[in-house]
Amino acid sequence: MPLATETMVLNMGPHHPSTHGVLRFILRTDGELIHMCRPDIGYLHRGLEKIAEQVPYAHFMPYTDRLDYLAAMNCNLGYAITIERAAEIEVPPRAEYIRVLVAELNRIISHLISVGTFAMDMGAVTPFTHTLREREWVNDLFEELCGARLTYNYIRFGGVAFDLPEGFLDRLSRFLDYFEPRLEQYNRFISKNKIFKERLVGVAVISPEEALDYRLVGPNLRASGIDWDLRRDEPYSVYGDLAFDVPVGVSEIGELGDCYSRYWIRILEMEQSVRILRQCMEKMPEGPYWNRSKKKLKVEPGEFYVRTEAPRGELGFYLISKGGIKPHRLKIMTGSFSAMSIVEKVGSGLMVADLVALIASLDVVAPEVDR
Amino acid sequence: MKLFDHIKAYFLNIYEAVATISMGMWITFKTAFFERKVTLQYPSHDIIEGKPKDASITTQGNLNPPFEALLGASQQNYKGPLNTQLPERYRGLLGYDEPSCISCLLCALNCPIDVIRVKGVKIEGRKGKAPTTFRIDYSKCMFCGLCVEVCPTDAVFFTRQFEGATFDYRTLIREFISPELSLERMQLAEEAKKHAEKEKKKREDKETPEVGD
Amino acid sequence: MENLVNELFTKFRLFQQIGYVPTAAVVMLACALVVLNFFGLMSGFYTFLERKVAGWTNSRRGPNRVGPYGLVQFMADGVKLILKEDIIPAAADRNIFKFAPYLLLLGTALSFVVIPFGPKWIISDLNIGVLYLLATGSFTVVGLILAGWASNNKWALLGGMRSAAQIVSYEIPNALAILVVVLATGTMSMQGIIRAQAGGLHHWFLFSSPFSFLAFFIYFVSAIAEINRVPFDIPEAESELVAGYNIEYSAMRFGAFFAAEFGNIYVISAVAVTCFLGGWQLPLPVEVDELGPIGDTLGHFLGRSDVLMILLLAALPATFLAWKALRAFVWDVRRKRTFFGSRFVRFHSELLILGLIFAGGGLTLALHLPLRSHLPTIYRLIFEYIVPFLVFFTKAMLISFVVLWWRWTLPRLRVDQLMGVCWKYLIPLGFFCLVGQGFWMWLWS
Repeated sequence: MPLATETMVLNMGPHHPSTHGVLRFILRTDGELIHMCRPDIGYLHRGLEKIAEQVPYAHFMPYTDRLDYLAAMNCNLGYAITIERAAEIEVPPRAEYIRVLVAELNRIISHLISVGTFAMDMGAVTPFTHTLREREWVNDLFEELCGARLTYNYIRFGGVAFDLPEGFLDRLSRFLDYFEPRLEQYNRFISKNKIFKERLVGVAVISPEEALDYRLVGPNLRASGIDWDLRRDEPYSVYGDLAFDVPVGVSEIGELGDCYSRYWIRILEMEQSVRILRQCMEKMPEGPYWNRSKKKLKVEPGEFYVRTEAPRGELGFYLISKGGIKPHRLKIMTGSFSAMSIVEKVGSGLMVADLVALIASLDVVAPEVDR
Repeated sequence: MKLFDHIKAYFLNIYEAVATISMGMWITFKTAFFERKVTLQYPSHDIIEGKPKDASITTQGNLNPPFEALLGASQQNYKGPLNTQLPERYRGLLGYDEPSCISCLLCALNCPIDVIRVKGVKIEGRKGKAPTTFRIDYSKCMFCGLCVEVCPTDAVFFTRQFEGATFDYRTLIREFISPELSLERMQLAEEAKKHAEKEKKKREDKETPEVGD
Repeated sequence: MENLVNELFTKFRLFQQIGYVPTAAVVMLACALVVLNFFGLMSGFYTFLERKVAGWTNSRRGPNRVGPYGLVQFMADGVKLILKEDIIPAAADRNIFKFAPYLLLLGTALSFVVIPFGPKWIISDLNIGVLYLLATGSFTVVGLILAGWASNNKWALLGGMRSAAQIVSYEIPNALAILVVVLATGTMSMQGIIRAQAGGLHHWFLFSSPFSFLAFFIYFVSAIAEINRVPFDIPEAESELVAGYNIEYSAMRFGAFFAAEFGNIYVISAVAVTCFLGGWQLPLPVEVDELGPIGDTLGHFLGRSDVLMILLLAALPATFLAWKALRAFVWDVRRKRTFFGSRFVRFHSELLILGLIFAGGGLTLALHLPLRSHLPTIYRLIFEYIVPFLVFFTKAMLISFVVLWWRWTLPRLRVDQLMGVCWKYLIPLGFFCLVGQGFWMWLWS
């Protein structure tokens, strides 16, 4: 006779150490086993899309910093490209290279946070502080570049706000020389750790079909074996001129699309970002950094959709303009939001500890989910 | 044969666990004892000036090691921007240079969240308008820098001051122009206006008879 | 302890007047006081050490503000915990909720009864010492389950349940590993086990046979699991269960949980040292009974006036250090600094410590002059009591450091994997060691 057990409803969040912000999961568990897992989002809703309708185009730039605060540069870039396409603004080549440079640098530190918090959610605190130590250095570089450490507000329509300071590229190259061996060290320290692997390999597998059905994007999609990267497939800015590989999940360790491959993709992407950064530094052209127009920015009536590859995947801005200095509607499509939708599907049947691994592996950032 | 594989996997598991755990332990050990600490001991260290606050700290020598200490000997020229000092472009609390302000309202118009409030009057001997009100609400400011970017005379600028914490948010609403000065300017402007009106009237009075003729 | 009671009873008239039972009670109380204080001090020291190790491994500095090197930090924390409000949730089972942390503390404190501090220093050398330790170790699980249940919180309940499964399972490899040692020595008394390891490094059970070598690691892993530390800290798993069984606790009740946890580190280190690292035996082929005579000889040697004069001359650098410390002190006094804010304490802490060592050394040497005739006795006592304790304590600290070091290196296992490690790996290996040790002994006998 099977043992009769009672399920219980467990509220994971909104305040919970591993929900990465203010997220809530309603779990129906049988002891440790999760029968049902429903994400409850909206605790960090700030109405960014509505704000966009209230303020002139240029004034929304600082708000995009807050869209995904771990990748403010990438959000800046996505929004800037949207408006530039809509208003047909030329961008000088130096500005394009600077943009790619800062975006890739930001991708590195965003993935550093992802990898670090992943390790911390698995119970190892030291890798987190080690990744933060490296991130601090990049923050210093960004601070030197634009004066801010987290919400940069650096990219402008038609260029960037400041030119690179004296000796910035040397310092950046010194950071990269320091960073590459460190990346190797993380692999020895945490990626290859037996316990870490045990916790992640084969856990919460997302098949390629499922990933497509639920519109997973970015690293999460590539970890499931779908070879899709906007930087290569729909090149924007100067990504077309740069040589880089798109790491795609192969079931090298564990299964395709499990937590470990999602983790591993991020490590590989950091390596590729370093490669892109080195090319940018080499090819950095001279010239103006900002094609600054004196006129008030106005966008012709029409609809525009621009998507870019942010660290958390595709970041799309859908702009409806009816003329004038403000958008009629600005819809923002983010990677974390679509990643949240699959939690319910994959989450049931896992254990509570695995759910933590799943959330960490999807690299969800709560403000990006709720916007 | 299958059984043998299982046994092999069993012992490989043990080996892998022991090997990777000792590898990780070696890395933490190295970090703990052979690498410099990166902590910047902030209250004992003046970040704005980039030097220790208490002279006696320097005697210890290793209180605030810059990142270069982490590097190998080949790369020791890195001057970390923040490790000891704030960079030039640092966005601290907003500063205001009253004499150069022309009350053009560009900063107020470019602020996404209406942090800045400016009023100005036209007085003699000053370019543009003389400000009578310049108020910054630091509690709302998000340090985006749009106001600094558009200011034509660099009257609004970023200071490198960042210690703005307070117990009362009202102290964060800062008036840069004293009420006395403001009143004085308004009176001046009023007088000038009256004066101008008088002049105008006088001129009109002068002109009217001519028309009457 | 019995010896002490008997000795006091026979030697002193005072104790004879008050009777045997009261004498025993007084001695017991005194011992309990010593043990509890040692326990409290050790857990405080471990909280400090843990944070220091955490800082170092994380490229940080760790606590360094309160006292020299942050050494007094734990006292500040303790005072803070005592002063905080003790909140008991309305829905909690009040009595059990209040009782649970003390049960946990009790289990740990009881373990200290059989932990030796030296060949003659032990509260009670029970002839079933090891068995007793295993029993007190299991006290923990009762405390944890009660805490988890009484909190009336789902996270706490999950934590309590996890701890039950974990601790009960890991009792087995723990016992098996110790059984290997018991098999080799034929005694369960802690002192007996240590005495069996006399005669140098190769007699320690860590090195004496391959099976006891393996048993040491089995013991170490399962003991870490027993005291719920990373990588086996699933009952409180911060990123999963928020804080596990102690989620609803605050103030000193919360502190009690941590005192017990950190005290347990010393317990398992002490047991590991006792069973596998030779306890208070020196890593030299010196019998512990020979230490007294060595002290005797040393005392005679130091008692010679020429030797003493040379030693006193060597203490001269102390005056220089004392001069520097004095200057720093004057600097403070002139500026009216508080004690902890003073330059003397904050920036010359190493000077302070060195100065104290030198001053203590100088004072001790100076004391040699009037005590010249008693030196052999004094040194004999030091070598019989203090030296073994220091040896034991150093070894225990090394083991504890590894425990803390693990904590800051490894991720945490999942519940089922935790059970897998126990039942699939540790228990079979434990039996293998037990049988192997028997075989090994048969081979060499």
